[in-house]
Amino acid sequence: MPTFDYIVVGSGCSGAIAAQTLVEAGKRVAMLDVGEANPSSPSVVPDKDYVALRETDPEQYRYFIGEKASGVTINDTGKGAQITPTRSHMLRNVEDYIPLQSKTFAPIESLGYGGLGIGWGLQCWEFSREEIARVGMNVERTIAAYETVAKRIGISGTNDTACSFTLGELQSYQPSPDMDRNMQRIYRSYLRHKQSFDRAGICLGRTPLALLTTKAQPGRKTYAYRDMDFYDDNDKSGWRPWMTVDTLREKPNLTYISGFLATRFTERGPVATIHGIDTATKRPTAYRCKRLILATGALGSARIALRSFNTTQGGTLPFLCNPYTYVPCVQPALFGKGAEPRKIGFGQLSAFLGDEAQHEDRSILTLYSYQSLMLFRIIQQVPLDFADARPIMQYLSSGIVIAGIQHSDKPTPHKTLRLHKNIGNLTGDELQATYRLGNEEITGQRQRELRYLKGLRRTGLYPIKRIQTEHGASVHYAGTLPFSTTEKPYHTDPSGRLYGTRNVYVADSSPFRFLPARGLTFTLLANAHLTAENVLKHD
Amino acid sequence: MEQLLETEAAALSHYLVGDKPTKAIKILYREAVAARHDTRREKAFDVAVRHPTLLPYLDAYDAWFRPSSQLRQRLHLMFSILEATPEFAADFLPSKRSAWYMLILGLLGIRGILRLAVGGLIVKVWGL
Ligand SMILES: Cc1cc2nc3c(=O)[nH]c(=O)nc-3n(C[C@H](O)[C@H](O)[C@H](O)COP(=O)(O)OP(=O)(O)OC[C@H]3O[C@@H](n4cnc5c(N)ncnc54)[C@H](O)[C@@H]3O)c2cc1C
Repeated sequence: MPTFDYIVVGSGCSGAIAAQTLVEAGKRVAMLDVGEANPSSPSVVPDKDYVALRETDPEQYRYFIGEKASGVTINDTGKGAQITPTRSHMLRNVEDYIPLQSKTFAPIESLGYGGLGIGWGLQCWEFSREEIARVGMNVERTIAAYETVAKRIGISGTNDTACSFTLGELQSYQPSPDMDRNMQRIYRSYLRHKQSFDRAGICLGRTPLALLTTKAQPGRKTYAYRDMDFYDDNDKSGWRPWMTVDTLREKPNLTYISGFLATRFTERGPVATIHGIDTATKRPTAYRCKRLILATGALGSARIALRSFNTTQGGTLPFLCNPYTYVPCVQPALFGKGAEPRKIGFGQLSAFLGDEAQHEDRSILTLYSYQSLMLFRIIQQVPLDFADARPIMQYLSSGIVIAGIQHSDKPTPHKTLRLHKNIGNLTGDELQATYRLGNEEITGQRQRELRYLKGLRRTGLYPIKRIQTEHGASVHYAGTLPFSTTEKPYHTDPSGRLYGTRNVYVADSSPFRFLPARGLTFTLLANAHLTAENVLKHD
Repeated sequence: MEQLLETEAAALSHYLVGDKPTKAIKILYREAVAARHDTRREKAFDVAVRHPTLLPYLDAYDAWFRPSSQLRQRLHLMFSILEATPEFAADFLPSKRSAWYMLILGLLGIRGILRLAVGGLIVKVWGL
């Protein structure tokens, strides 16, 4: 059986950063991964901006709608609408290899090389000190880890009135990218009416992104405003985990092994073994190591832990997921304005309810301009014949803005995971999830959403319809193996080690005991770095 | 079958952008339909393709009452293909218009509602 010093399972955000910390410390590391690869690598997208590509490239269907229009589905605004054909490999084999059954929860999981980070929206929030403590992490070390991660991946942000909510105490950042027409207008209007926003307790500022804007990194250029953010990574200005893994693979002390579906671990003395299935042969296979680091995502690590402990510990696990509502809005002042070639597709502005700083129930709103996701994704929402709907939407499209509202989440008995036998599946089981919000949670969320929408109207942005997505659509999952200072089954100690094991660590968001409203990924990266540091300390 | 799909592609494209589909568009449409393994043929869709003058009315009706009908699905497919074609980029990309254009759009909206009413009649009379 192949044996390594350190094994990291997963090449997503957490796996990439954990492996980087270990490799940079000079350790010999193996990264095991299902690692579905991008078939269109190198990129099939020419290096032009969105408008130029639309006007000139006869092959554009390949990346905009996919071969055989595979990217066109009947409900294009649903879950994962922003996962375009060039990124669809991130969803490959998920239903077969890691099935999940639920009537109340529909997550997006990934077995891709780079995990969910293949398509993530780059928003990088620093949690407040209170939030870090509630998550269960060490505050001072986490603040320092944010800095380390920011230097590695490159963060852009602005020191504006909202920066205590966005960048927190972060020092290492580049300027935010230029706003597009829609956002400039909204922001100007916000500044003009700032006093009334202050009275309403709403604070608006630039969204921090894992995006290089002014300072390039080796192999990565600065952002070129091509508005192709949903389709390619040609300039690598936005950080994606596979970029880090690509770099690590050039080093002699990292071995990357794909096509391995981890199922469970065992331990004998100081040696941990990770068992799994070779996805090419469908045969069982295993690897041994001194320290095993799971970075398979909160749901993925839950599966592995449940299988590994099942015989002795039974198991229903808690989990967390930010509830998510999105609201298509229009800014009439910008109707009929023509296409904008120099533009950004990522979230640009975010709003916070500042008067709730001390509350655990919080929400955040992020604004995106709609252009490069094209009309075909929204046209069916118009209750008119296509021929009339097309010119209408074409005219309105320059003024369409999408507001995404995310709410914090805390564990309750109605958010649970269990592993059930299903011999029809490759692993002989499936995860079953139940996710229900309590009435109080729902009421609080609706009230905050309405406050935001009222505020937006003041900037000349008019909400059309509030769309509550299925639970799971935020793609922010955590809390399956929570941090605990006392030894308990299915819990993680403060260093990231799974209780009941000697050498098995969890580096993803599984240990988070609370999920603030702001996206978790920056904190997940900080936690992965800290966990790897803890592993090194235990040596 | 190939001939049928060509006729279908021509009718849908003409209805959506007022133009014939290029050869490349026809091929894309054919491949996209084949990949969907959708062998059923709903009566309303069949009628709409054989009598393209009825297309707007049946489409308007389906937009309200049968959003997942075969007609809506195929129109959506053709819409997406046309949108991802440089020849028709100008029909889909945001374009500069004066505020008066709102008036025209208002009329289009009213036309859409009238089409819906006529579509309802056609569906009832023809039993579609
Ligand atoms: C469209 C989209 C937009 C997003 N935008 C944002 C955003 O703006 N801000 C934000 O904070 N978050 C965002 N997210 C969420 C963010 O992507 C995730 O929080 C993050 O990527 C999770 O990383 P992870 O390493 O924990 O897990 P994953 O990304 O799930 O990675 C898991 C890895 O483990 C491997 N793996 C899984 N199971 C097994 C197994 N059994 N055996 C072997 N290998 C396995 C997979 O191949 C993969 O490499 C977004 C997500 C999506 C999809």
